[in-house]
Formats: sequence, C-alpha cells, structure tokens
Amino acid sequence: MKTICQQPLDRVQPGETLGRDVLDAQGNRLLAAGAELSTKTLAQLQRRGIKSVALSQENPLSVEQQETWRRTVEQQLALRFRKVQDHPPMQQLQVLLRDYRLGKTI
Amino acid sequence: MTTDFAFSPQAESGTTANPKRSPLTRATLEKEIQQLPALSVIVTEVLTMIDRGDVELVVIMQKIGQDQALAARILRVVNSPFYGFSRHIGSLKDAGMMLGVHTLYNIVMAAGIMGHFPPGEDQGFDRLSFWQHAIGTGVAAKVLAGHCGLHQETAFTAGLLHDIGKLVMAAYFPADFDRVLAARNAQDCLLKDAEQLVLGFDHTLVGAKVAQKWKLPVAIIEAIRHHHTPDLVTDRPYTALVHVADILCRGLEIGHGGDMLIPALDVAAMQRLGLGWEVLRAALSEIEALNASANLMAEQ
Repeated sequence: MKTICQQPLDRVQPGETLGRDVLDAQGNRLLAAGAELSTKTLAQLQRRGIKSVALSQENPLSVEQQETWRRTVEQQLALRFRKVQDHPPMQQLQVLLRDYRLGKTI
Repeated sequence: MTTDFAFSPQAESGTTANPKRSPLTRATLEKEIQQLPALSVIVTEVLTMIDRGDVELVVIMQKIGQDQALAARILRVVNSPFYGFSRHIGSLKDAGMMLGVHTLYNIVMAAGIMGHFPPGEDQGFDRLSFWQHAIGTGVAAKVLAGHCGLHQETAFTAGLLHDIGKLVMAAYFPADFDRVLAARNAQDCLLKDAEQLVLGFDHTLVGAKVAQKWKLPVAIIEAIRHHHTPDLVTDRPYTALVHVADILCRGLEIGHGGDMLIPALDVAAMQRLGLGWEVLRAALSEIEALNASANLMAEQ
C-alpha cells in the first residue's frame, strides 16, 4: 500500500517519488506527482525555496505504527474541533483534514 | 533560530503601551485607537501616491528608495520564491515594473504594518506564531482566490491582516488583553468569545478601527471586521474568502492566532464563493506547498 506524506526537503533522498505535484507561487507545476526525484531536481527545488514535498511511499510504518499515527492525527483534530462537534459541516471538514493528513484519496 | 520578517522594514515606531491608561471599553475604544502611532511617513506617502493613480512608477519607487530598510525588504520579497520570478531582480525600478502597482501597494502595506509590530513576545502572546498564522491565512486566501476568480494579492493581504486587532490589543492594551487571555483559559473558548465576555467587543472591531485609521482599502477593512461573521456582509467576497481561509489554516495547524480552537464554518460563505468540498480538498496541499515558500517571510 502506498501512502502520501509531506516531508521536509532536507530529509528527502534522491530516488524517492513525488506523491503530489510541486507548485510555484503562481500555481504553475514545477514537478508532477509520480516524478522520481534526483540530486539535480532536489537542488532545483531547494533553490526555488521549496521547504517540503509530498512523497509517495510504500507504507514504511508497521500496522501498529499506522494505528498510532492515525490515533495521533484524530486526537489532534478532535482537540481543535471540540467546540464544533455538533456542527455537520465541521464534521465533514474534520474528516477531510483527517484523510488529508493520513494521505487517503477521497 | 533568529527571527525576522522579510516584509518588515526596521521598526521605526516601537509598540509601547501606556501603563496608566484606564480599562478599554467600547466607549473609549475610538479615542484610544486615534491616539495610536501612525504608520511610517514613507509608507503612508507611498500608499497615497499609488492610490491617486496618477503618479508615475518611477516617482513612487524614488519615494520607496528614501526608506532603505523598506527598499531592501521589497527587493528581498520580490526575489523570494513566493513571487517565483525566474531571474534575480536587483533594482527597485525593476521590482516596480515586475510587480505592478497593485502588488506593490499590497507589499508596501504589509511591510508597513508588519514593521509596526516586530517579532517579540507580549505577555502570553507569541508574535512569531501570530504572524505564521496570519501568513498561512493569507496564503490560504490567495490559493482559494485562484479557485474562485478573485484577485490573489488582495486576498493575501486581507488574510495577512485579518487578526491585526489581536496584535493591537496585545501590544497597546496589555492589561486588558491579559484579562482576555485569562478568560480564554478559564472558559476554554475562542479568543473572540473571551474578548466579548471581558470587553463587550472583539478583535475584529479593534482591527477594523485601526485599519480605518491607517486608511486601508475597504475590502481589507471589511475582511478584518467580519471574518467571523461573513453572513453580515454577503456582498463582500474577500470577507467570505478570509473566513474560509482562516478556518483551513487553523485546520492545517499553521501558526497560532491566540487559541487552539476552530470556529464554525459558514457554509453559505463557501457557497457564495463557488467553493465546494472537492476544491477545499485540493486546496489543502496547494496551501501547504505555497506556505512553505511563504515561510521565508516569517523567519530567516
């Protein structure tokens, strides 16, 4: 199973694959999702000031780690959304943010 | 990490509070706001010149050049990845030509206001986290503006300045703001609700009054005043935009605007902008990507 997760650029290794497009300030696509990052493209992104990219990775987490990560994300969101739990659009937004954080495609 | 603001000139007017002042009330607010320091003379003159519409760009850039710190910040911003120009821009004249007067207006306005409140720590209120949330909201508004056909620079500035009333209270009315923070902690509520409880008004009113004093554009003033109540001004798209952007920015946990809660989304505001859930979903990654480049504005 592949997951998408945002990583600081300085932690990205050549050979890793982009999970989402990299856009510049005008919304122009610098690199497309699926592109394999090379030393050269990483240096170019750094020069353009890109701080982080979304990588597509074979899930590096164990089932237990995935579960811990899911719980962490859900707890953080629940804390922030605790005063609007009975507001249906906010429930929808909370799910949207949870799925985004967990890298799901909806 | 040292902190700096690419947008900000060196602060000319430090923010100081008057310890002898009486508690802030709705009745005294207007007078208190009028007594706050003005923006820098150069910033005010440049904004007025651009607003007039009949002053040549070269004259405007000469005026900016009189404030070396402002000039340096404009060059730094224009060369940052946030604007994404492919070549280095070395002169103010070129910066003006590349940016155009509308963008220049927004940058000078942001620089002037951010320079008014340099990074620092007010009691219980971290200005760096505040500006990170402000920039994140500006970025979110800019991204959403691209999806609904609004002007992206105006959207960014409206988002950047939407909570300026909080900073005004933290900087100039610290005793009143301390009581607000205590009420926020005691009630476990949004900062705006604590402000209403303690003062009978909130940061949106303070921000709008300051913005009026500084003669900011109406679209910005309205976004500051009604970003929590967009239903009161349904003909103001930038207000609706900032309302949605603020909530997305909180959801993405970008910076800290004074509380760790998320207010309820006004779905009608979203619909007026023609934004659906699919667009919001797509916007999340765009916001995070663009905010990564905008972070250069808040730290060095």
